Amino acid sequence: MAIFNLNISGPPPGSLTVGASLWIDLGLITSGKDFFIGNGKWTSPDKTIIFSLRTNNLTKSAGTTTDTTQISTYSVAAGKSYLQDLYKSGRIHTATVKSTGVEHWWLLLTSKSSTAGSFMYNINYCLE
Amino acid sequence: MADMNPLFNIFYSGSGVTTTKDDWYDLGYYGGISPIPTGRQMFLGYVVTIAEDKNLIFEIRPNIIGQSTGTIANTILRGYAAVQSGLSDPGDLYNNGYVNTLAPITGVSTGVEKLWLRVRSGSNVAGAFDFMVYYNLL
Repeated sequence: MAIFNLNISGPPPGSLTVGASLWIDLGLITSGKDFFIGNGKWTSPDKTIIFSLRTNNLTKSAGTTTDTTQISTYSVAAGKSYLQDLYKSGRIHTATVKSTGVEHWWLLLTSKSSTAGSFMYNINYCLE
Repeated sequence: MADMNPLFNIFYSGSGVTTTKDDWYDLGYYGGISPIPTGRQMFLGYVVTIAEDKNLIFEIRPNIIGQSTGTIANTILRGYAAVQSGLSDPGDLYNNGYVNTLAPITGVSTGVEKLWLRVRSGSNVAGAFDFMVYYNLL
């Protein structure tokens, strides 16, 4: 049985682009649980983009650097994809906070260029 | 699912801007452990390094026993990656258990030794960088 039985991906084609930065709300973390992340596939067709997963700190819910903590990061060059292993056969634990019912998890995209660029992400995770 | 017992259960996560050709960063500054606690040894697993603006060379260097400063003489190279501008490097210091990357290398900390990230480049132009270092304390 697969460990990471949940998946979130996006954005719908053509619906979003990233300039210098963009916070994507991946949603509310299930109350009393944390999300345990297996891998993330990051694609940046048009320009170099840094993909960073962040979890809200306890009792926080805003998508800001102050209210979140980075739990992964990777830079992907224009026209490339990268499958980032965030599990390493169980050797690392990439997880959000255990939610009190208000915390979200976020994908922060940053770029040195403010020109609009498309992107895609696909994250496999589970409830812990 | 069962409780996780990950081998590398602590990480440093940070970013900075290097403005010289050779900068040293005490990783403890980034919310991690520094100096390495007395009687303990760090077991290093994985590193992610990002060079945002220019090509950079990243080095992971623990102090030798009894030293605490970030200099070539007082540290030993234990991880290394050259990263092109805009790219990342997923460094594996563990290699499925085939490599034992420790800090300090030759024994436990006396309470003063640190773990350093040395960032080098071919120019003095400012360049942003990011990193994550996954480790454990033995």
